[in-house]
Amino acid sequence: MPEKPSKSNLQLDNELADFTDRILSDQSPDAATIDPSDELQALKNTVLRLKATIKHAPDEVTMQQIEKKLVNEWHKNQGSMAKKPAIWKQLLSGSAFLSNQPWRGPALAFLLLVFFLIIALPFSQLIAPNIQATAGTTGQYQIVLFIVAVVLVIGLLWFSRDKNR
Amino acid sequence: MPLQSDESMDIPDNSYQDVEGQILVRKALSELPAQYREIILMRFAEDLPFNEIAKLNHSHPEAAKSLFRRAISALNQKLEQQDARETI
Repeated sequence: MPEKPSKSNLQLDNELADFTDRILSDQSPDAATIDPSDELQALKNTVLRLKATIKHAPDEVTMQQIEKKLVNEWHKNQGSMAKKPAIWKQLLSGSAFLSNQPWRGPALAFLLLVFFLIIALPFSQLIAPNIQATAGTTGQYQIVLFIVAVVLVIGLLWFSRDKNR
Repeated sequence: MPLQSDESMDIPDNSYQDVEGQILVRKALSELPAQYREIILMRFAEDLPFNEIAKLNHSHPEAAKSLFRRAISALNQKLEQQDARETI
């Protein structure tokens, strides 16, 4: 069977334009108009979809009914997900206080560190000179405080990190 | 007239598909370059014939038809991409 000669661009342009004119003048496409072997078949189907979208949109009442039903379905499906997450979950996922303003995390961490140093230093200075036998304990106490402060700083930086990155 | 309850709403099943299809077409249309979107809307929404579109664009009807085919082809590609995404 001989192959059909491929059409020129001009012929394709004219054929699609004629098809669109016929469709828009409410002539239904017959079997001959949409040939499965047609080079323009996909484009003609797109024209039909466009006409259905632009020319035959559902009436307002139907659209409202569909919208209402869709919203109801959505609420049913989202019921459990719409519940507010527990506080501990909010904390684990990063609180709004910290995540909305990224600079707040480091600032809070710095303040906590200063707070710990203010509390820790005078206390260790008070007990260190007077109780000689506990000198080793004082050192341990400072190390523990230092570790707690570092953990807090890392924790705050972790919670306030930008998760979108 | 009394309000209808949700259960008594008589919406044909194919309305959802129609609306979904229309939403997809509108979305694809909005993603097209401006000149493609314009010629499609001039022909379908404004119902302007190609020679009128050509006059408005200061071009020939052949050029308008060529632009129209490229616009429909671009729209078709967008719709095929959307269909492929929906299938996945």
